[in-house]
Amino acid sequence: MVFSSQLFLFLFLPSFLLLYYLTPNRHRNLAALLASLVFYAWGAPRFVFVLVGCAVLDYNLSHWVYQARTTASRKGWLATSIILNIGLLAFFKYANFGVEQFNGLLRLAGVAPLAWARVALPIGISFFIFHKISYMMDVYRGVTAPARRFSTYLLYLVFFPQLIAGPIIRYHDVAGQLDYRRHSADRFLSGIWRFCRGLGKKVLIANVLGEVVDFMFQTKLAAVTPLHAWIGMLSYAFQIYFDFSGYSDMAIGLGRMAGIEFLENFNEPYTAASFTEFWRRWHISLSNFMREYLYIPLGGNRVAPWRAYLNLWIVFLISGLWHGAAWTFIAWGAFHGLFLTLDKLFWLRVSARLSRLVTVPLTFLLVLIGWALFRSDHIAQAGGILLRMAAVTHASQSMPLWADVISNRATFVFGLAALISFAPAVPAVRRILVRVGALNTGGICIARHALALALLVLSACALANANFNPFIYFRF
Amino acid sequence: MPKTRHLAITLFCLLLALPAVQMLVKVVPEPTLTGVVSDAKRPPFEWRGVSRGDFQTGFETWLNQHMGLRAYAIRTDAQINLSCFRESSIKTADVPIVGRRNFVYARVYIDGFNRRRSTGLTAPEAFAQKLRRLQDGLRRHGKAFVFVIAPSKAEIYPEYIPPRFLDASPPCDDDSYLRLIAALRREGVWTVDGHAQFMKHKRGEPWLLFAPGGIHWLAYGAAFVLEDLTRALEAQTGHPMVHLECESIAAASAPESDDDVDIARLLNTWELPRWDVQVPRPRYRARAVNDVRRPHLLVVGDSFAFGLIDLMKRYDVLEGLDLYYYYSVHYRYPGGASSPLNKDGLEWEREVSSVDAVILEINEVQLDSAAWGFVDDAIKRLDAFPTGAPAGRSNPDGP
Repeated sequence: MVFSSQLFLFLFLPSFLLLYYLTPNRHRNLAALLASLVFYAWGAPRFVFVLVGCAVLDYNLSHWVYQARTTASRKGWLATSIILNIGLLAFFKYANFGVEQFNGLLRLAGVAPLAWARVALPIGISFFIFHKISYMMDVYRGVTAPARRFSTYLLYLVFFPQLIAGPIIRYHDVAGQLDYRRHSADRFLSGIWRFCRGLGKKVLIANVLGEVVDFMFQTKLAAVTPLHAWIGMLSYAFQIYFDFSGYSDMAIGLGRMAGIEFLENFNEPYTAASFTEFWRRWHISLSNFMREYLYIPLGGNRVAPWRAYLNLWIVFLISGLWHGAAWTFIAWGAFHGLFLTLDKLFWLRVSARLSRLVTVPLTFLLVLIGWALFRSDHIAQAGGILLRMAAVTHASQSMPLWADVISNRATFVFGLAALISFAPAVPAVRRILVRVGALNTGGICIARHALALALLVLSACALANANFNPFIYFRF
Repeated sequence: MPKTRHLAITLFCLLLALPAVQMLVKVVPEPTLTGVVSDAKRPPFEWRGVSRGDFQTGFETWLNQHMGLRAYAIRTDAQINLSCFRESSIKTADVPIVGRRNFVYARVYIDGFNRRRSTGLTAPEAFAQKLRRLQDGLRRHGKAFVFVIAPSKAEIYPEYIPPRFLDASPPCDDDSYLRLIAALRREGVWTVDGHAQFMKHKRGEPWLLFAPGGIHWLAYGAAFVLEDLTRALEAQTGHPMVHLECESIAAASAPESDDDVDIARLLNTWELPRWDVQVPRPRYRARAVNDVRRPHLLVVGDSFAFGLIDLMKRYDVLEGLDLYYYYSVHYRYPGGASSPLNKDGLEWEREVSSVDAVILEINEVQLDSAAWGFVDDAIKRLDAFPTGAPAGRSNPDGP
């Protein structure tokens, strides 16, 4: 079940809010847990048992870590948990990819490939495995005590707003709120605003641009012109940003409606002047997780420079692989690792002396190249699209119709997305946005409420219409 | 302020709850939507279906079709699409394309127009030969045959197609439509070329032959094709038939029938586009001589056939008619009752012997449909039963 579906908006969400607010305060965790399990089971009923089963194991392991008297046994229990969780992720997410690569090698050697029944991927596994690792690490480090109740721990893992697509919540960021939280009309309203804003980003912007992107990637490369490639890739840059940040906004908004505050996940990433800054603004919860639970344990910056660069690469290769089991994701991770290393080597010093009018577009251009790797089915496709963008090769087949390349609505949305993405990079615009954001007058609040409700209505209309594809007459 | 806060929260909750409430108790009447979609059935709740995810998928599809206030939402979004962006978001081949002067086209016809010089009918000569075999087979049984090519609005009025939808690539010399026309002439197949007929009238007359908001020919245009068809039938059977004579033409600015706005209605907007053109409303008189023959026809065709049939019914041209719509649904006239066509159980001998002529009507953008399998079936089955009286004149030189 996705947030931007009629099922979620008009059946699940009102039912959840009704159940949650009719339940006495002390039992609201149970109401949220029940709703979250239903939410997860709707998409992956069989995997609920895997999810709950391994949560039981981890919950006990966390208590054994906490109660262990020696460092060795604490480390032992932690290692057991990490190995189990990484093993689970490796099996469900990477086994198919690994076997495909292995079979490729066997074929090269002239040996018959292994017979293999494909493993189904449980929804949200990348996120809940990271949540479990965060919980175990926090308990191990003594940052927090293990959850007193299994239900509280399970709620941390499966709370539906962040279950499918994040943000990645570190346990210590929400542990207190899971035990006690205050509900207020202001917080609920702020949740509505955030949720509707995210819904609008997803439905009214990302979905519209998604059609432009899909068409470009479905068109034979031989028929893609440089202009088409640029439109497709720029649309993808906006699509992935508005889709992902919209989803994070919806998650944050839903959390607030239930009285839980999640940390921000995006902060105008396309205004970044370097890759280092980009990763402080893009998928912030992943950056935080990787830094805290991988980069620092590997030695972080406290090691020799060459080792720090290597650590950075390892982190980004793993980050790439975490996004998906394919060489394109690994290449994307390596690409970002390379530019982060260059940042540390010299670019941050050089770019500090350059105008942001140069560094921001340059960073965006490089990020865009990375997106070609991220979106393509294989590296050759990414290379082909990048060559088209560079006008090195030309379309050799008849071009698609302009109307198919980009619709009028998508053209408008493209411009709007570019404006929202880049306008804050202009200092004067940023000042105005900050000033308006800080205003809390009655008029501003009413306008914000009205805009939130308008976004909800427009998104609902767009969702309904997207599912309506009639023929003029019955034919067959 | 607290009042505003509570009002906003209440409105938000109401907006979330209203669609489900409307679905359950139908608080307000829903406007109807135009167009045909496959009806999603609500799946039964079974553990097996749930564990496989089939129930969830089926339920979501069903819910998307039955959610309350859906028609309001669809019409509102469609109106935004039309008013702000002059387009529709429908993703079928019938997607309405709004062109200059608000002429509305179905996308499939524009695609046909764009590909007219490259693909389309892949083997026109072979198709013409098959039609000749069918014509000969019918003649052996004493039946006439006419092949009618219905024109496409995009072919006749390409000047109103939005430039974004026009293929800018250079045209190919291998025009399959022209090849088919030449092959039909060579083979001597009785053909009424609606495309050529419409182009001739478009050049010579001020009247529109298609309504700006309609997908099909206007009665005024269909009457020209009907006249050619009647002549072709007379020539083959040797019997005089009823002809239509135009008595007067009135100019109408507003659409008079649903057919005039069928493709525009598919936009499913709150308001139809406005048109600044006038549409002809002709009045005909049926002209019949004493020994006039009112034939019983078997028409195999697409939705353009209805325009011809309406004229023939209105002016009492026919004794009766069977329509094999897309060679899939059987309509019987007079009356117009329909039932699925059982192709395997079709009694060809009875069907063919009960009619005077067979008309095959195909729109020019569907020439590659190979008449939906009808021609192949007919040739095979006609050879399988004994021949009747020979038909009228053959057509060695082509019509």
